[in-house]
Amino acid sequence: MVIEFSHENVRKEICTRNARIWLEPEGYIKVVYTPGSDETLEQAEDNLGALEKICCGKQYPVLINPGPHKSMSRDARVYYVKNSPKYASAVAVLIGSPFARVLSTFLKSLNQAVNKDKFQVAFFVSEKEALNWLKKFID
Amino acid sequence: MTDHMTNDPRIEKILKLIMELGSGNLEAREQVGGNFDAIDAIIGGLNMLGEELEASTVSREFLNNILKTMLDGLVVANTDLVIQQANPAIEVMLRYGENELIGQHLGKIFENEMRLFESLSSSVLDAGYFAGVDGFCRSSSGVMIPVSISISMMKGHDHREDNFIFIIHDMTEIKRREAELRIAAVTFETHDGIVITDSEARIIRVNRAFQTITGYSSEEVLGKNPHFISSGRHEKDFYREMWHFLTELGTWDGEIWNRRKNGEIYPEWLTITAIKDIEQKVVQYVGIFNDITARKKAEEKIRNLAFYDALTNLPNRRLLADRFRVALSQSERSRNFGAVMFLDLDKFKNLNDMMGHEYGDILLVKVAHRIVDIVREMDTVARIGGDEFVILVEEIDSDQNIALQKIALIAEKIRSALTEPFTLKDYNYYSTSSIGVCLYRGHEKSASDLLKSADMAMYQAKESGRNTVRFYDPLMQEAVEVHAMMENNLRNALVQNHLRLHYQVQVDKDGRPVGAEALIRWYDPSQGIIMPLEFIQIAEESDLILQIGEWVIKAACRQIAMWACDEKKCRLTLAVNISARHFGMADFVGRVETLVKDYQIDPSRLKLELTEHILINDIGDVVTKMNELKALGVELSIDDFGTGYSSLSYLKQLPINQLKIDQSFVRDITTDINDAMMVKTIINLGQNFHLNVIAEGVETEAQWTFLLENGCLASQGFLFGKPVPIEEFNSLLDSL
Repeated sequence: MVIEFSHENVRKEICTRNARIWLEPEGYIKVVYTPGSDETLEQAEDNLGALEKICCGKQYPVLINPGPHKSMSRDARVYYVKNSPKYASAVAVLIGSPFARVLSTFLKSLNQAVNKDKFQVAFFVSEKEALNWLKKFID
Repeated sequence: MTDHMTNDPRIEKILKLIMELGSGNLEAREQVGGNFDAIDAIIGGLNMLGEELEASTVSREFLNNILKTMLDGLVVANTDLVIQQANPAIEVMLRYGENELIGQHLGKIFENEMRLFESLSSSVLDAGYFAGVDGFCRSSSGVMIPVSISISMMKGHDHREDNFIFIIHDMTEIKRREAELRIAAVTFETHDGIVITDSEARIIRVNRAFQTITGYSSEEVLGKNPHFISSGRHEKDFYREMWHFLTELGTWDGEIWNRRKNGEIYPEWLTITAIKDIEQKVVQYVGIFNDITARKKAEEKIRNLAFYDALTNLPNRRLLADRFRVALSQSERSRNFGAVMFLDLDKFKNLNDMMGHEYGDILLVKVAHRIVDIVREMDTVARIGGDEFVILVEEIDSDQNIALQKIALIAEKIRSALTEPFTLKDYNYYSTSSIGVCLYRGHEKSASDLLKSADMAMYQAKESGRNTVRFYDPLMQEAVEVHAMMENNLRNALVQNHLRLHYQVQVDKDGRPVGAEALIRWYDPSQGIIMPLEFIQIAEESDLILQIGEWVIKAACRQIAMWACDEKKCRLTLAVNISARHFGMADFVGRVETLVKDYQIDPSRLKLELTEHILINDIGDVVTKMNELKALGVELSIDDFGTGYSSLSYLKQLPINQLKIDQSFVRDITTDINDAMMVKTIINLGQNFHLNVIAEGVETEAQWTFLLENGCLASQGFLFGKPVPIEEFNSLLDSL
């Protein structure tokens, strides 16, 4: 895991093995996956660990762009669904790729089973719509 | 299959993956390519689907295992209360076969609880669950099993898919334990005291009976060692042995004396049991006890009834026999002499007759106390009946002479103590006792023989004038046998007319005969003349005295009648001795009157000499009879005056004519100033009461002179004539 401070106004950004995670000045966190990622539980743990560091005890809305993923193991999916509510006030997932569309149904189903729909997860084709939806979760 | 293969290997991958998953190989996966297109997405999606199926299968199996292995019963029923699922535990609990319950209405197993469930259903629907309802399940054989039921609602996608889940816990064992606990609780509060301690013997619980018996409250004893109520009566060894039993056998029971809070010491029967855990380590001690004070008292009472005299609380004959057995064995070992004393109260019967048995009983109790106070604690004082006491004095001395001296002292001490006056209610009573003593050593004589010997010695004491101690010796036995023979011979003598009267003259101040005293003699063909001293006592002890007394009066009356025809003798008075028993006969006066009339004599010629001893009897009866005799005209004289119960009051009450001074006073009248004073006093007394006074046993001129000088105008004694047969007596009179 690499922590970068890429902007002059000290933007906190963490690069994990398969994702870049940073806090946008607008007050949401963006997660962008490396293309072709075969995501395991270990990597999911790294990513949420990075998210925790960036949040510094606060909850932020999170925008995830899974990108052209190859796979995400069930352990990783369950881990995300169970633990994301600790750091994220809501999650918007971009489903631009066919895999992302397929993945979204599994995540949605898991979220329903695990979090009883209490945790806000929404799936968007466009980032603009996603950000619009996330705005209501920004403090 | 080859014919159906497509040309697109990626489509083939998808088909292959679907076929694998469809055939149940849920672990089947396919590699996702790098095109990131829809085909890759389908492959990735199928992979994830496979993962979800696998996870759900694992999860279902897990749940099935839980259902199979859980000990509580689980029943799933739909909203129509039809059983959808039942785990093996409920099937075993209710004796149903596998899946036999599925499809059955819930009422089949909850027959009595359906109304309860209906009332609970809204709660269950609202809250989602309801825990802990006690009820009953019916088994396949109809047995009702106590259960605790928890109900929860498992919501489906819609209401039709809602299910009730029943978790059923078999309460049979718990209910049994509860019942046992209730029984234990009831048992704990029994009449027996119960104390429970921890393994260090610190009290952790006591029941109410403990508090009642000991007087200590629960708060006062908790944490203490039960030893704090010990009485101090038991030695350390007692407790050491108790703990030895507890340690070795886990239990101890026995009688123990403890102390109540009020200080009272009481006996209890205590059973202690050590309670051990599964590792055989003592965790608690339970002591159960009951107060046996009442039982001990009852036992004591029974023992007393069997072995003790109820009146005096002294050992009775049975216990005496036992003490005798032990004493003789002890003496056999130690070679020490012991002694048996047989004590009989003199004239006890008279007290009973005069005052009633109530007074007699009081006297017996007081006599018992006095004897017990004198002897040692180790000795036995027994009452063996009536006024008979036996005193067993053990281990006196190994030297016979010393033992004799010691026992003589003890016997004399007892005799003397019993002469002290007894206060019987408001009445001072003077008693005496006759004591026979017999020494023993070892088994030389049996207890029975010893008692007989002491008894004989006691009779010897009686014969010696009572209020005496006599020792048994072999000659005594012979004397007893002679006594029995004498009585038999005397009876024959009466029948065969071997009794005679001798007459001793009585003279006035001038020496002229004024009368005579008739004295009985026994003319035994083989022994010759037997004096009354040798047989009157025997007669007194049997009814012979009545026949003899009758014979004497009759003979006297006959003689008076004969004298009546003789100018020289017709004014003579003839005195006869009357025994107390004879006088006590109900028709005594009537019989005298009959004889007087039969012989047509002047009654004033007949003088009845009565001893003071008759006065100990019913004085009212005595006075009545004497008045009747006086009215008849018979003279009455008090014989042996001064030796008995000489009392001014009866001199005043009784219609007597004469006092007769006992010869024992006359004998030393000239040498013993006391006897002289006694005689003078009696003479003065007679004069003052206007009574004639006659002295008997006058043997010398000096005695007669003294008597005459002091106003005694009548005398009798060897100086004037010995008792002689009538022929001699008549000759004597004729010669004067």
